[in-house]
Amino acid sequence: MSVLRRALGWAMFIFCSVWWTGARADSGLLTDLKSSHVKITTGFTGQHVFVFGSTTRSGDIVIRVTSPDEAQALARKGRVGPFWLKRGKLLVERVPGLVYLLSNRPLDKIADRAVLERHGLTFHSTLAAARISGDPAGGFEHWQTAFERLKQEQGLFRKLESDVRLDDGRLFSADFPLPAKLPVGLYRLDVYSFRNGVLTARHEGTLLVNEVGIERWLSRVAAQHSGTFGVLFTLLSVALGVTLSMLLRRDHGRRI
Amino acid sequence: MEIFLPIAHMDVNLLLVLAFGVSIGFLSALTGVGGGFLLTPLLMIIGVPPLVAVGTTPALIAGSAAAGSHSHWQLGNMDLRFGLALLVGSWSTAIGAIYATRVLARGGHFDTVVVFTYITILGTVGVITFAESIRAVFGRAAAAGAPAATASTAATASTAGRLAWLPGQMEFRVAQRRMSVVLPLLLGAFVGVLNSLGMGGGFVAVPAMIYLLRVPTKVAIGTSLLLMLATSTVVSAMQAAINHSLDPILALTLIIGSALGAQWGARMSAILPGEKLRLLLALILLAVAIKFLVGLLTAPAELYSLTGVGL
Repeated sequence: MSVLRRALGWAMFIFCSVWWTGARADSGLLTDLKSSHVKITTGFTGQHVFVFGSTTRSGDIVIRVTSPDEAQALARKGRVGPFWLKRGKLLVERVPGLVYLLSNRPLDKIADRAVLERHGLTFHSTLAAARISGDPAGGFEHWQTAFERLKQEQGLFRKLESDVRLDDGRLFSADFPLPAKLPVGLYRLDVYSFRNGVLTARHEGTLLVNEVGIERWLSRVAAQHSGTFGVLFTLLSVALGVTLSMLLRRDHGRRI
Repeated sequence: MEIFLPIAHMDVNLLLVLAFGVSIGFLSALTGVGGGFLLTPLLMIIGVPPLVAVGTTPALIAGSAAAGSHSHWQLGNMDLRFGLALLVGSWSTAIGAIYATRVLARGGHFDTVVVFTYITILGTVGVITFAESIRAVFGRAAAAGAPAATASTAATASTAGRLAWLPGQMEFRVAQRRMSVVLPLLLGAFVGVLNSLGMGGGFVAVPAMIYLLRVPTKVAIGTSLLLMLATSTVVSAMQAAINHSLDPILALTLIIGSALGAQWGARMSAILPGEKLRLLLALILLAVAIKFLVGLLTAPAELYSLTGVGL
């Protein structure tokens, strides 16, 4: 299956290469996605994304996938009498909901930490750009560590340091999984090419992640017309409750 | 078999949620207790955000109360004047509580309020049901219950007598009682708060009407169903409108499961012993309360938690 997928990916890559006719050749980096749309349907349990491309000069490839920025609340529990309760909250804004860093080998072997930080290729640099408000005095001095740890546990901050495959040094591809519970919106897909620890080229792409079909309709109606949705859905629940009860009761009567 | 919940923004096992619905319908048909107060904590245990669990349960209660109300309406078991007084009380506090939910959720304190309320309510109802069912299972033949019942009747009669000074005395024809309108208003007000926290409230309304307000059992059940239907309908619509916390996929799955479970429960109720089932229900309630309590008392492995601000 993976051989087939790979073959298909390469076929598409060749097609795209011809089609783009070197429009971005000056950057020395060409990339594309097998599918630039992740569709969240009722049965969505996560999805693999296949990225592929080529670079004019051999070296290392780093891919940074980021979802749109979103506000997050980081709460901290503390002891109140015998109970452990939430005692403080920090509002963290201007941080992507999801950050994936993919590379062909460990990032610290590709470039110095300072170089990686400058290009936003560490979680630390991502969080350094955040805007925080709330209660920084109440045990949030090292909030970045907790934030990063929780995001990693949720599978939303990930380093996949061997997921980029290099073939003959200039062709690359990556196949990475997105989790079932993920932020929606237009994701950025930044591809960086490094050679001897120096950035040689960079290419930006996008990936659309959103609900489709009934999921999209439901979440849109529930958000944009919440009043109407609430009334209609509740009436539907009442009608369904009565109908099911009557139907099942009749069925019960027939059997007995 | 996983299914994605569009409002909770998570995937859950469809069969597990369906099984929750079946169990709640089954238990409510067997024991006469609605089950909302058990469903909400179960949903929270499987990771549904408390706000969504609390916001979705009223839709299920509205659906199942509608099914029950229909037959009780035909049997004439509803006191509409009494029901209206209850509803004025429940709507007032429920609407207030839904707005309070919004403020609490934004401040990050909603989870704490929900957990404390559930420990108190589940613990209290669990202990009372446990004591009653133990008495019923082991002391039925001993006839020791008779003097106790007489004593409690005397106590409630004198309580009712003491409340005769309250204003707004009126006749409730179907309930065959004359009392102050303040009493159903207060009871309704308490039920309104419980309902907006995803607990239904029938488990408080029915015994309060029977034992405290001395309403005949059938009228108490019929009128309570009307109260559940009308309160849950408003709460469900408002939770969706104001807090965006009603998950339609979750609600539909639960309603279907519950309807199936209720029919199954109705068939089983003739065979299974009611007292032992109430004992089982009491143990489940106490187990859930203890689980929440232990969670509050033990030092957490992770001090921090991360949530979206939008929800």
